[in-house]
Amino acid sequence: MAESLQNPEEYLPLTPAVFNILLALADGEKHGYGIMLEVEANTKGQVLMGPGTLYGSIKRMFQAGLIEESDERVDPEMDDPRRRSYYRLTDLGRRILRMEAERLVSQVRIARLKKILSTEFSGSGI
Amino acid sequence: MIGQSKDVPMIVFSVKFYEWLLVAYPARFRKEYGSQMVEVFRDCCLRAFRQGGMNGMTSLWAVTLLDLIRSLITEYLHKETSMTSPKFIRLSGWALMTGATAFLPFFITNMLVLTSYSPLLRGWYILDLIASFGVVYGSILLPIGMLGLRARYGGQVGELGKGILMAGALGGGGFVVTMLYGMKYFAEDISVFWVIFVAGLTLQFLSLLLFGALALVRKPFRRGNGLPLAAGLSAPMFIKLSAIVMQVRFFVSNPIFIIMSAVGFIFMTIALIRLGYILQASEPYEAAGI
Repeated sequence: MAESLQNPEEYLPLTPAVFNILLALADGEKHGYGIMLEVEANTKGQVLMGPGTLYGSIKRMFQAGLIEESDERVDPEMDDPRRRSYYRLTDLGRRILRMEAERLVSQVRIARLKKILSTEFSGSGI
Repeated sequence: MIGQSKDVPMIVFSVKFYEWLLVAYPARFRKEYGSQMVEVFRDCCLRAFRQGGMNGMTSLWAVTLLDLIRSLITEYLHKETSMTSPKFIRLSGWALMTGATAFLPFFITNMLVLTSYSPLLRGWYILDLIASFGVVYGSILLPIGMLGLRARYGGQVGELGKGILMAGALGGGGFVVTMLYGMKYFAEDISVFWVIFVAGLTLQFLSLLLFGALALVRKPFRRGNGLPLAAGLSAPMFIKLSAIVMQVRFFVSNPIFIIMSAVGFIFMTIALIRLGYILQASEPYEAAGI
């Protein structure tokens, strides 16, 4: 099912939706709505994903072997008896996420060298 | 609380309407993710209604409709490539390899013409016929190979590269049609046929040459980025030499031209076979387009 590329660098750069979904799954498995909420919170509402974008991205990430489906169960944190499909990162997904994050860090480093960032960001230790 | 909100007519109607809208998605995608999408949308409705009432629902619908349009386009584009690309790319790799090999009889007959041995051979006409079929067969397969290169490496070589490969494939396709038409109607006028033949193949290999130059800069392949250039460079040289030989018999006995022609052809064949091998063994690029 997975159609992984041989060279992980060929995945980069990731789209904002894919990067944020991977980031949302970095600390544990989540269901679709949970991913959506986390992405919204992480990006302060800048990345708004509807179900179409969310599951379209999930489908392609699943095909690329970046994520996998764990199981279907009820979310104990939600007052709702519905069973939901949970997704988690694969080793490749985690590796791609790290590579993308490193790529973004290097971009930020360039921005800092060019004095684009305000002092607020200058001392962030990136 | 959730149970109560769930029964709000506005939410019930919205979920039903969204479920109905999902019909627009490709069937396979809908079958696989449709029910999850509806559940997520139901969650979004509950939250929007709790937080903003009617206004919240209106905002949600605005965002959802935009998302629907955008993701529909993406899914249909992706469906088109995912249904054809992996298989097509593999087949186009084989097309490139067999297409390059199909030119071998043509090469042999040309060599025989060049060395003036052809009239001495028994069954020369059969060989000549096989060569003609080989050229037609190869000319059909090479544009398919170029389309495969475009499908697999188009993303890495950009719009310019994609345009070049498409021009080459279209040129090749047009050439095949003209050639087949010419075989039927211009059989007695070999010069017209030959001009079309040379022009068509030149266009194909010029595209390959330009794609090769681009590949050297953008390096779409993990290895062998010089292959398209090698194929594109050597073939026109070979064709040009063959054209000269066929039309002006002056060079027939010139060994330098024979050797150059042979070397050019061998380089082209090896480069195309190698390129085809890389193409058929590669994983689809679409996986990267996530």
